[in-house]
Amino acid sequence: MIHVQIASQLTSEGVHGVRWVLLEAAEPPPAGPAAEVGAPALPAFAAAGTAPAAEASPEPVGVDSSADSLRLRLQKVLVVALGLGAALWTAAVQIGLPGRAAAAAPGEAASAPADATVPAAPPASAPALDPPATPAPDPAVGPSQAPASAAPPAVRAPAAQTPTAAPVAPPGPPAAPASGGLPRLTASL
Amino acid sequence: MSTLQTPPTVNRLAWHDEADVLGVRIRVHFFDPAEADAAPDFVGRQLPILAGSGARLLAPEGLRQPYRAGALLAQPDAVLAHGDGLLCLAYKGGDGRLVQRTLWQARWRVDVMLQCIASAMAVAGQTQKPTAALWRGANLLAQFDPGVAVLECLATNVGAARHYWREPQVVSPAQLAAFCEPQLRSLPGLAASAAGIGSTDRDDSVPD
Repeated sequence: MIHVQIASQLTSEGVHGVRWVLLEAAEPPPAGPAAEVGAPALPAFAAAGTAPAAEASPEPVGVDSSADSLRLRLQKVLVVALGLGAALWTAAVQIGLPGRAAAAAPGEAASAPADATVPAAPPASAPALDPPATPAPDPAVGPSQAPASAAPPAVRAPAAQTPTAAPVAPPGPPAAPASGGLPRLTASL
Repeated sequence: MSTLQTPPTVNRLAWHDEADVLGVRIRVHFFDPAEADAAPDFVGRQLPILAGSGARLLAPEGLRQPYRAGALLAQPDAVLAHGDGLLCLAYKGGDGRLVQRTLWQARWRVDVMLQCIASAMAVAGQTQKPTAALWRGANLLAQFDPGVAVLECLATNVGAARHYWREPQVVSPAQLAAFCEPQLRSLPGLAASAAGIGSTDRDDSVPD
Protein backbone atom coordinates (compact mmCIF):
# COMPACT_ATOMS: atom_id res chain seq x y z
CA MET A 1 0.00 0.00 0.00
CA ILE A 2 1.14 3.49 -0.82
CA HIS A 3 0.73 6.37 1.55
CA VAL A 4 -0.94 9.31 -0.18
CA GLN A 5 -1.40 12.74 1.40
CA ILE A 6 -3.80 15.24 -0.11
CA ALA A 7 -3.76 18.78 1.21
CA SER A 8 -7.12 20.27 2.06
CA GLN A 9 -6.04 23.83 2.79
CA LEU A 10 -3.91 26.16 0.76
CA THR A 11 -2.25 29.28 2.09
CA SER A 12 0.34 31.63 0.79
CA GLU A 13 2.98 29.82 2.84
CA GLY A 14 2.20 26.28 1.93
CA VAL A 15 -0.32 23.49 2.22
CA HIS A 16 -2.16 22.48 5.36
CA GLY A 17 -4.80 20.11 6.55
CA VAL A 18 -3.48 16.87 5.18
CA ARG A 19 -5.83 14.00 4.44
CA TRP A 20 -4.13 10.72 3.86
CA VAL A 21 -5.30 7.54 2.26
CA LEU A 22 -3.73 4.22 1.33
CA LEU A 23 -3.48 3.57 -2.38
CA GLU A 24 -3.36 0.13 -3.89
CA ALA A 25 0.13 -0.99 -4.76
CA ALA A 26 0.93 -1.91 -8.32
CA GLU A 27 0.30 -5.50 -9.28
CA PRO A 28 2.91 -7.41 -11.23
CA PRO A 29 2.21 -7.33 -14.96
CA PRO A 30 0.53 -10.46 -16.32
CA ALA A 31 2.98 -12.88 -17.85
CA GLY A 32 0.47 -14.46 -20.19
CA PRO A 33 -2.95 -15.95 -20.43
CA ALA A 34 -2.39 -17.95 -17.26
CA ALA A 35 -1.91 -14.74 -15.30
CA GLU A 36 -5.41 -13.64 -16.17
CA VAL A 37 -6.82 -16.56 -14.23
CA GLY A 38 -5.37 -15.27 -11.00
CA ALA A 39 -6.34 -11.67 -11.65
CA PRO A 40 -8.67 -10.26 -9.06
CA ALA A 41 -12.21 -9.96 -10.17
CA LEU A 42 -14.10 -6.73 -10.43
CA PRO A 43 -15.83 -5.60 -7.26
CA ALA A 44 -19.42 -6.44 -6.69
CA PHE A 45 -20.75 -3.07 -7.73
CA ALA A 46 -19.15 -3.42 -11.14
CA ALA A 47 -20.77 -6.78 -11.67
CA ALA A 48 -24.10 -5.50 -10.38
CA GLY A 49 -24.34 -2.84 -13.01
CA THR A 50 -23.52 0.29 -11.05
CA ALA A 51 -20.24 0.63 -12.86
CA PRO A 52 -19.95 3.10 -15.75
CA ALA A 53 -22.60 2.83 -18.38
CA ALA A 54 -20.12 2.00 -21.10
CA GLU A 55 -19.28 -1.27 -19.39
CA ALA A 56 -21.96 -3.28 -21.11
CA SER A 57 -21.06 -2.26 -24.62
CA PRO A 58 -17.54 -3.69 -25.01
CA GLU A 59 -18.40 -7.04 -23.45
CA PRO A 60 -17.54 -9.94 -25.69
CA VAL A 61 -20.02 -12.56 -26.72
CA GLY A 62 -20.29 -15.10 -23.97
CA VAL A 63 -22.64 -17.53 -22.35
CA ASP A 64 -25.36 -14.97 -21.86
CA SER A 65 -25.44 -13.97 -25.49
CA SER A 66 -25.68 -17.60 -26.66
CA ALA A 67 -28.56 -18.19 -24.27
CA ASP A 68 -30.26 -15.08 -25.59
CA SER A 69 -29.88 -16.23 -29.19
CA LEU A 70 -31.35 -19.64 -28.33
CA ARG A 71 -34.26 -17.97 -26.57
CA LEU A 72 -34.80 -15.74 -29.59
CA ARG A 73 -34.85 -18.72 -31.92
CA LEU A 74 -37.41 -20.48 -29.76
CA GLN A 75 -39.56 -17.39 -29.78
CA LYS A 76 -39.35 -17.21 -33.56
CA VAL A 77 -40.41 -20.85 -33.89
CA LEU A 78 -43.28 -20.27 -31.50
CA VAL A 79 -44.52 -17.26 -33.43
CA VAL A 80 -44.34 -19.11 -36.74
CA ALA A 81 -46.18 -22.09 -35.28
CA LEU A 82 -48.90 -19.89 -33.84
CA GLY A 83 -49.34 -18.10 -37.15
CA LEU A 84 -49.52 -21.34 -39.07
CA GLY A 85 -52.03 -22.80 -36.63
CA ALA A 86 -54.19 -19.69 -36.82
CA ALA A 87 -54.14 -19.81 -40.63
CA LEU A 88 -55.11 -23.48 -40.67
CA TRP A 89 -57.90 -22.94 -38.17
CA THR A 90 -59.26 -20.01 -40.17
CA ALA A 91 -59.19 -22.06 -43.35
CA ALA A 92 -60.95 -24.95 -41.64
CA VAL A 93 -63.69 -22.65 -40.36
CA GLN A 94 -64.21 -20.78 -43.61
CA ILE A 95 -63.80 -23.58 -46.14
CA GLY A 96 -63.88 -26.79 -44.23
CA LEU A 97 -61.62 -29.65 -43.61
CA PRO A 98 -60.26 -31.40 -46.71
CA GLY A 99 -61.31 -34.83 -45.43
CA ARG A 100 -64.92 -33.74 -44.82
CA ALA A 101 -65.16 -32.14 -48.23
CA ALA A 102 -64.01 -35.32 -49.92
CA ALA A 103 -66.46 -37.35 -47.87
CA ALA A 104 -69.31 -34.98 -48.68
CA ALA A 105 -68.84 -35.27 -52.46
CA PRO A 106 -67.46 -38.70 -53.26
CA GLY A 107 -68.75 -38.58 -56.83
CA GLU A 108 -66.79 -35.49 -57.73
CA ALA A 109 -63.58 -37.44 -58.04
CA ALA A 110 -64.73 -38.90 -61.34
CA SER A 111 -65.33 -35.51 -62.93
CA ALA A 112 -62.02 -34.05 -61.75
CA PRO A 113 -60.21 -34.43 -65.09
CA ALA A 114 -62.93 -32.50 -66.86
CA ASP A 115 -62.48 -29.60 -64.47
CA ALA A 116 -59.15 -28.77 -66.00
CA THR A 117 -60.86 -27.06 -68.91
CA VAL A 118 -62.87 -24.78 -66.68
CA PRO A 119 -61.22 -21.77 -65.07
CA ALA A 120 -61.19 -22.29 -61.36
CA ALA A 121 -62.82 -19.73 -59.13
CA PRO A 122 -60.89 -18.30 -56.17
CA PRO A 123 -61.46 -20.59 -53.22
CA ALA A 124 -61.87 -17.79 -50.72
CA SER A 125 -64.74 -16.18 -52.62
CA ALA A 126 -66.47 -19.43 -53.44
CA PRO A 127 -68.64 -19.65 -50.28
CA ALA A 128 -69.83 -16.06 -50.68
CA LEU A 129 -70.59 -16.46 -54.37
CA ASP A 130 -73.16 -19.08 -53.96
CA PRO A 131 -74.13 -20.53 -57.33
CA PRO A 132 -77.63 -19.66 -58.51
CA ALA A 133 -80.36 -22.15 -58.17
CA THR A 134 -80.72 -22.52 -61.92
CA PRO A 135 -77.31 -22.06 -63.41
CA ALA A 136 -77.01 -21.36 -67.09
CA PRO A 137 -75.66 -24.31 -69.00
CA ASP A 138 -72.21 -23.85 -70.39
CA PRO A 139 -71.99 -24.96 -73.98
CA ALA A 140 -68.38 -26.05 -73.64
CA VAL A 141 -68.89 -28.02 -70.49
CA GLY A 142 -71.59 -30.35 -69.49
CA PRO A 143 -74.50 -29.00 -67.51
CA SER A 144 -73.58 -30.89 -64.41
CA GLN A 145 -69.85 -30.18 -64.52
CA ALA A 146 -69.64 -26.42 -64.73
CA PRO A 147 -71.23 -25.50 -61.39
CA ALA A 148 -69.58 -28.38 -59.65
CA SER A 149 -66.12 -27.25 -60.66
CA ALA A 150 -66.77 -23.62 -59.72
CA ALA A 151 -68.22 -24.39 -56.34
CA PRO A 152 -66.15 -25.36 -53.30
CA PRO A 153 -66.30 -28.91 -52.05
CA ALA A 154 -68.63 -28.06 -49.22
CA VAL A 155 -71.34 -26.74 -51.52
CA ARG A 156 -70.73 -28.94 -54.47
CA ALA A 157 -73.24 -31.56 -53.53
CA PRO A 158 -76.32 -29.36 -53.39
CA ALA A 159 -75.22 -27.43 -56.48
CA ALA A 160 -74.70 -30.56 -58.51
CA GLN A 161 -78.06 -31.94 -57.50
CA THR A 162 -79.88 -28.74 -58.33
CA PRO A 163 -81.46 -29.86 -61.63
CA THR A 164 -82.91 -33.01 -60.11
CA ALA A 165 -83.28 -32.23 -56.42
CA ALA A 166 -84.85 -28.82 -56.81
CA PRO A 167 -88.41 -30.05 -57.45
CA VAL A 168 -88.43 -32.30 -54.39
CA ALA A 169 -86.76 -29.87 -52.02
CA PRO A 170 -89.12 -28.85 -49.23
CA PRO A 171 -89.96 -25.16 -49.10
CA GLY A 172 -88.73 -23.23 -46.16
CA PRO A 173 -85.91 -21.04 -45.00
CA PRO A 174 -82.55 -21.87 -46.47
CA ALA A 175 -80.38 -23.95 -44.20
CA ALA A 176 -76.89 -22.96 -43.33
CA PRO A 177 -74.19 -24.94 -45.04
CA ALA A 178 -72.72 -27.81 -43.15
CA SER A 179 -69.31 -26.19 -43.17
CA GLY A 180 -70.50 -23.42 -40.87
CA GLY A 181 -70.09 -20.61 -43.41
CA LEU A 182 -72.55 -17.92 -44.41
CA PRO A 183 -76.19 -18.96 -44.81
CA ARG A 184 -77.51 -19.34 -48.33
CA LEU A 185 -79.23 -16.30 -49.68
CA THR A 186 -80.96 -18.15 -52.49
CA ALA A 187 -83.36 -20.96 -52.31
CA SER A 188 -84.32 -23.66 -54.76
CA LEU A 189 -87.69 -23.16 -56.39
CA MET B 1 -7.99 7.04 6.05
CA SER B 2 -7.22 9.73 8.52
CA THR B 3 -7.22 13.47 8.65
CA LEU B 4 -4.75 15.74 10.29
CA GLN B 5 -6.23 19.18 10.38
CA THR B 6 -3.85 22.03 10.76
CA PRO B 7 -6.02 25.10 11.01
CA PRO B 8 -4.54 27.94 9.06
CA THR B 9 -4.50 30.95 11.26
CA VAL B 10 -2.98 33.51 8.97
CA ASN B 11 -2.76 34.33 5.31
CA ARG B 12 -6.02 32.89 4.14
CA LEU B 13 -6.24 33.10 0.42
CA ALA B 14 -8.81 35.24 -1.30
CA TRP B 15 -11.22 32.62 -2.48
CA HIS B 16 -14.34 34.14 -3.98
CA ASP B 17 -16.70 31.22 -3.64
CA GLU B 18 -16.82 27.65 -2.43
CA ALA B 19 -19.23 24.76 -2.59
CA ASP B 20 -19.49 21.03 -2.12
CA VAL B 21 -19.82 19.07 -5.32
CA LEU B 22 -20.01 15.29 -5.13
CA GLY B 23 -18.10 15.06 -1.89
CA VAL B 24 -15.43 17.57 -2.84
CA ARG B 25 -15.11 21.00 -1.33
CA ILE B 26 -14.30 23.39 -4.15
CA ARG B 27 -12.86 26.82 -3.60
CA VAL B 28 -12.74 29.10 -6.60
CA HIS B 29 -10.95 32.32 -7.28
CA PHE B 30 -11.97 34.48 -10.23
CA PHE B 31 -9.49 36.70 -11.98
CA ASP B 32 -9.11 38.83 -15.06
CA PRO B 33 -7.58 36.60 -17.74
CA ALA B 34 -5.94 39.48 -19.57
CA GLU B 35 -4.29 40.69 -16.42
CA ALA B 36 -3.19 37.20 -15.42
CA ASP B 37 -1.79 36.37 -18.83
CA ALA B 38 0.32 39.51 -18.70
CA ALA B 39 2.13 38.33 -15.57
CA PRO B 40 5.83 37.73 -16.14
CA ASP B 41 6.21 34.48 -14.23
CA PHE B 42 4.43 31.16 -14.40
CA VAL B 43 2.89 31.39 -10.94
CA GLY B 44 1.46 34.80 -11.69
CA ARG B 45 -0.07 33.57 -14.96
CA GLN B 46 -1.42 30.21 -13.90
CA LEU B 47 -1.91 30.74 -10.16
CA PRO B 48 -2.89 34.38 -9.75
CA ILE B 49 -4.02 33.79 -6.20
CA LEU B 50 -0.46 32.75 -5.28
CA ALA B 51 1.28 35.54 -7.14
CA GLY B 52 4.24 36.69 -5.14
CA SER B 53 4.37 33.55 -3.02
CA GLY B 54 7.26 31.17 -2.89
CA ALA B 55 5.74 28.56 -5.20
CA ARG B 56 8.11 27.34 -7.90
CA LEU B 57 7.97 24.88 -10.73
CA LEU B 58 9.69 21.53 -10.29
CA ALA B 59 10.21 21.08 -14.02
CA PRO B 60 10.60 23.52 -16.92
CA GLU B 61 7.37 25.05 -18.11
CA GLY B 62 5.57 22.89 -20.64
CA LEU B 63 7.43 19.74 -19.67
CA ARG B 64 5.05 17.23 -18.21
CA GLN B 65 6.72 14.84 -15.85
CA PRO B 66 5.10 11.45 -15.19
CA TYR B 67 4.20 10.53 -11.65
CA ARG B 68 3.24 7.05 -10.64
CA ALA B 69 1.67 5.64 -7.52
CA GLY B 70 0.98 1.96 -7.81
CA ALA B 71 -0.94 1.38 -11.00
CA LEU B 72 -1.94 5.03 -11.29
CA LEU B 73 0.15 6.99 -13.77
CA ALA B 74 -0.40 10.72 -14.20
CA GLN B 75 1.19 13.48 -16.20
CA PRO B 76 -0.07 16.71 -14.68
CA ASP B 77 0.36 19.94 -16.55
CA ALA B 78 2.53 21.39 -13.81
CA VAL B 79 3.81 20.47 -10.36
CA LEU B 80 5.01 23.19 -8.08
CA ALA B 81 6.72 23.15 -4.72
CA HIS B 82 4.88 25.29 -2.22
CA GLY B 83 6.14 25.36 1.32
CA ASP B 84 6.59 21.85 2.52
CA GLY B 85 4.09 20.47 0.08
CA LEU B 86 3.32 20.33 -3.63
CA LEU B 87 0.75 21.79 -5.96
CA CYS B 88 -0.60 19.59 -8.74
CA LEU B 89 -2.01 21.93 -11.38
CA ALA B 90 -4.05 21.21 -14.50
CA TYR B 91 -4.76 24.01 -16.94
CA LYS B 92 -5.02 22.38 -20.35
CA GLY B 93 -8.27 20.51 -19.91
CA GLY B 94 -10.75 23.35 -20.06
CA ASP B 95 -12.75 24.54 -23.01
CA GLY B 96 -11.39 28.08 -22.77
CA ARG B 97 -14.74 29.74 -22.13
CA LEU B 98 -15.19 32.33 -19.46
CA VAL B 99 -17.24 31.23 -16.48
CA GLN B 100 -19.66 33.57 -14.77
CA ARG B 101 -19.50 33.79 -11.05
CA THR B 102 -23.13 32.89 -10.59
CA LEU B 103 -23.10 29.96 -12.98
CA TRP B 104 -19.87 28.18 -12.25
CA GLN B 105 -21.52 25.38 -10.26
CA ALA B 106 -24.05 24.65 -12.97
CA ARG B 107 -21.31 24.30 -15.56
CA TRP B 108 -18.93 22.42 -13.35
CA ARG B 109 -17.41 19.31 -14.84
CA VAL B 110 -17.09 16.55 -12.28
CA ASP B 111 -14.87 14.43 -14.51
CA VAL B 112 -12.26 17.17 -14.73
CA MET B 113 -12.38 17.60 -10.97
CA LEU B 114 -11.87 13.90 -10.30
CA GLN B 115 -9.03 13.79 -12.79
CA CYS B 116 -7.25 16.57 -10.96
CA ILE B 117 -7.64 14.77 -7.65
CA ALA B 118 -6.39 11.52 -9.12
CA SER B 119 -3.37 13.29 -10.59
CA ALA B 120 -2.63 14.82 -7.21
CA MET B 121 -2.84 11.37 -5.64
CA ALA B 122 -0.25 10.07 -8.09
CA VAL B 123 2.06 12.98 -7.34
CA ALA B 124 1.61 12.58 -3.61
CA GLY B 125 2.14 8.86 -3.79
CA GLN B 126 5.41 9.12 -5.67
CA THR B 127 6.88 12.09 -3.84
CA GLN B 128 5.42 11.22 -0.43
CA LYS B 129 4.56 14.85 0.14
CA PRO B 130 1.22 16.46 0.82
CA THR B 131 -0.19 17.66 -2.47
CA ALA B 132 -3.00 20.04 -3.27
CA ALA B 133 -5.12 19.57 -6.38
CA LEU B 134 -5.70 22.69 -8.47
CA TRP B 135 -7.38 23.46 -11.76
CA ARG B 136 -7.04 26.64 -13.72
CA GLY B 137 -9.74 27.67 -16.16
CA ALA B 138 -10.04 30.66 -18.42
CA ASN B 139 -10.91 33.06 -15.64
CA LEU B 140 -11.03 31.01 -12.44
CA LEU B 141 -8.73 28.96 -10.30
CA ALA B 142 -10.18 26.09 -8.28
CA GLN B 143 -8.73 24.17 -5.37
CA PHE B 144 -10.20 20.79 -4.52
CA ASP B 145 -10.54 19.44 -1.02
CA PRO B 146 -11.79 15.89 -1.49
CA GLY B 147 -13.71 14.21 1.27
CA VAL B 148 -13.20 10.79 2.73
CA ALA B 149 -15.59 9.00 0.38
CA VAL B 150 -13.98 10.42 -2.73
CA LEU B 151 -10.45 9.61 -1.63
CA GLU B 152 -11.35 6.08 -0.62
CA CYS B 153 -13.25 5.50 -3.84
CA LEU B 154 -10.35 6.66 -5.99
CA ALA B 155 -7.72 4.86 -3.92
CA THR B 156 -9.44 1.51 -3.74
CA ASN B 157 -10.56 1.28 -7.35
CA VAL B 158 -7.29 1.66 -9.16
CA GLY B 159 -7.00 -2.07 -9.81
CA ALA B 160 -10.65 -2.41 -10.74
CA ALA B 161 -10.39 0.48 -13.17
CA ARG B 162 -7.31 -1.04 -14.72
CA HIS B 163 -9.12 -4.32 -15.28
CA TYR B 164 -12.18 -2.51 -16.53
CA TRP B 165 -10.27 -0.53 -19.11
CA ARG B 166 -8.17 -3.61 -19.88
CA GLU B 167 -4.95 -1.80 -19.29
CA PRO B 168 -2.07 -4.21 -18.74
CA GLN B 169 -0.08 -2.15 -16.27
CA VAL B 170 -1.29 1.35 -15.42
CA VAL B 171 -4.43 3.42 -15.52
CA SER B 172 -4.65 7.12 -16.20
CA PRO B 173 -6.42 9.67 -14.00
CA ALA B 174 -9.05 10.15 -16.71
CA GLN B 175 -9.80 6.43 -16.75
CA LEU B 176 -9.92 6.24 -12.97
CA ALA B 177 -12.20 9.26 -12.80
CA ALA B 178 -14.55 7.85 -15.41
CA PHE B 179 -14.69 4.57 -13.50
CA CYS B 180 -15.35 6.15 -10.13
CA GLU B 181 -17.77 8.92 -11.07
CA PRO B 182 -20.87 6.67 -11.40
CA GLN B 183 -20.07 5.06 -8.07
CA LEU B 184 -19.76 8.41 -6.37
CA ARG B 185 -23.02 9.56 -7.90
CA SER B 186 -24.73 6.44 -6.59
CA LEU B 187 -23.72 7.19 -3.02
CA PRO B 188 -26.74 8.70 -1.26
CA GLY B 189 -24.99 11.41 0.72
CA LEU B 190 -22.83 12.93 -1.97
CA ALA B 191 -25.41 13.85 -4.56
CA ALA B 192 -27.68 15.30 -1.88
CA SER B 193 -24.85 17.37 -0.43
CA ALA B 194 -23.96 18.72 -3.84
CA ALA B 195 -27.48 20.03 -4.34
CA GLY B 196 -28.18 21.05 -0.76
CA ILE B 197 -25.28 23.18 0.38
CA GLY B 198 -24.90 25.43 -2.60
CA SER B 199 -22.49 28.27 -2.72
CA THR B 200 -21.49 30.75 -0.12
CA ASP B 201 -20.72 33.85 -2.09
CA ARG B 202 -18.12 35.98 -0.43
CA ASP B 203 -17.71 38.58 -3.09
CA ASP B 204 -18.41 41.36 -0.63
CA SER B 205 -15.41 40.50 1.49
CA VAL B 206 -12.93 40.06 -1.31
CA PRO B 207 -11.94 43.02 -3.40
CA ASP B 208 -11.59 42.37 -7.11
